Amino acid sequence: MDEIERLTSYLDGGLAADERRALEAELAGDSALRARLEALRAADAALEQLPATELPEGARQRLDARLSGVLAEVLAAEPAAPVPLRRVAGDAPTSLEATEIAPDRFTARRRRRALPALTGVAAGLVLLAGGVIGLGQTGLLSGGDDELASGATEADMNAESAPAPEALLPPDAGAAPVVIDEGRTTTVGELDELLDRPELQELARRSLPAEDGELVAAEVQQELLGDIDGADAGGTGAEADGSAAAEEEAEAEARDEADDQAGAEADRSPAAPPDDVILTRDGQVLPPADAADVRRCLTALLEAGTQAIPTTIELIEVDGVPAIAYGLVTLDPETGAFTRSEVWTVERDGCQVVRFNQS
Amino acid sequence: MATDPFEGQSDEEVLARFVDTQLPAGSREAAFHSLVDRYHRRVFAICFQVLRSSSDAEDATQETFVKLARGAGSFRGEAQLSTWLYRVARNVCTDHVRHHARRPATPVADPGELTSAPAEPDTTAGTDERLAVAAALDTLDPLSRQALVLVAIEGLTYAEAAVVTDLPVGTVKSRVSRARARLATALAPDGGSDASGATPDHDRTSHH
Repeated sequence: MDEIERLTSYLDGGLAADERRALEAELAGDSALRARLEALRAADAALEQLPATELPEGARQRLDARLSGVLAEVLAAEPAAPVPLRRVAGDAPTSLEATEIAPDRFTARRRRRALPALTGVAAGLVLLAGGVIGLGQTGLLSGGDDELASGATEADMNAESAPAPEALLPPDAGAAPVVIDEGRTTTVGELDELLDRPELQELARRSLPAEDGELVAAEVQQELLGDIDGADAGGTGAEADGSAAAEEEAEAEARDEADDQAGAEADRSPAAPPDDVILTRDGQVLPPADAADVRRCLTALLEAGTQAIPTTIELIEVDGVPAIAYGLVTLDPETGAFTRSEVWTVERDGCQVVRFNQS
Repeated sequence: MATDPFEGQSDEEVLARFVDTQLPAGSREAAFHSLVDRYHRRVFAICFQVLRSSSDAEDATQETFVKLARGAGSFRGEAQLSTWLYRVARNVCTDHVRHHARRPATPVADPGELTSAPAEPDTTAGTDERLAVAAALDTLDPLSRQALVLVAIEGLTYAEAAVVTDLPVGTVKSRVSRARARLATALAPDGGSDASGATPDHDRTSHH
């Protein structure tokens, strides 16, 4: 403890008896030390004179007005549905973690094993995604296979006991995000508008409880990204460092199959949607190269450990650079529900974040 | 303000009444309003320390209580409600800063806003001294000032201030300690005019 801390602790009554006696002995023989103590005491007294921050005029009325609707809603809610956050990995991610996974998560992707704060969140993602996006391959989890397996089991059990995810989605959203292939150009400053997409607002407004939202997220991710884990199950673990190669392979595969699918589109069965074709809002098949980019960057985004329902996808050009804007509805750890709208705009090339917007 | 109908009950007990679906809605609502009574000012003070704008702080404060209303069911009582609430406030403010930092088109604040800050000087005796302290506080770096104000003026515990500032408790303690010493230097009779006023006293005074 340095001198300042000794003196302030002394004033706070925080010194142990022997430390206090020692300091008092020093004070008795050191007038400069006494002067410093007195200056501290005077400053403390002056601080106490300062009034605590007051609420602005009318703040309580404005707060009550804002709360009235919220409280009515909360108090009217079905008593049978407390909102426990179900997690295999134990605790819900704290809000701190939720804060920390924000915009840097893409750039941190390659370094993520060095970011212990992310693992809790990522483990949650592995759970909810089960085998869907195959995080086990990344070696993110120390106990990889076991945790992945138990996660999948729980996800299966959950699927049996919970309502069908489709029923929770916006009426016309199906089980896939709305892909808006506008190809429009914009500037970074204008990206805020993307948060206003009605699909995003509608889903966020539904405020899906954690469990339902996770189911929907898993469903949508599977729809969009395909059963990657199933396809690569044999290589799990062995390919821990081959993700780039795996991505290229998946991309080529997607391209081939998408070509086939485009020809056979009339045969599509809604009950078993193909996992290698992405449809736009107009029902057009997204060109395979675009679809591959969409998957690649979305996988990167989800790998970083967010619990998110991909809701809109837009292919745009930002300040001349080809980009993809993902509209996600994510779990707000404070409310235990999927209420946050986020738009992540990434460069198509490296999936680097250009812009992060949040409701 | 009317007396607290839940006087004598802990925050956590009052919150438990709010989430108790067996109770009538009016009673639950009263419990919530009681928590607002207890924490409204302090949450606002925290947000104001972070955002330095009265209207932004008010928005963030509202958002914090909305989150409390919606998220009360997930509060499990392993933390104190105050700590939990301050953490929510901190996150709301952080989000706010992040959101607005990325929107250059957004005006930072109305020019008049900072001057009409909530801690309005009053006209009672001691105003000069208060102004001197306020001026001395402004010479501190923002993080030190924030920690000092939260603990010394707003009455947060070190643990609560640690949550708000997202720092370990020990760091908050030593930061507050140092800020007090620098304030003492700045307020000393020779401190204000001296260019070395921000230097801690003991650095320019021989020990023996």
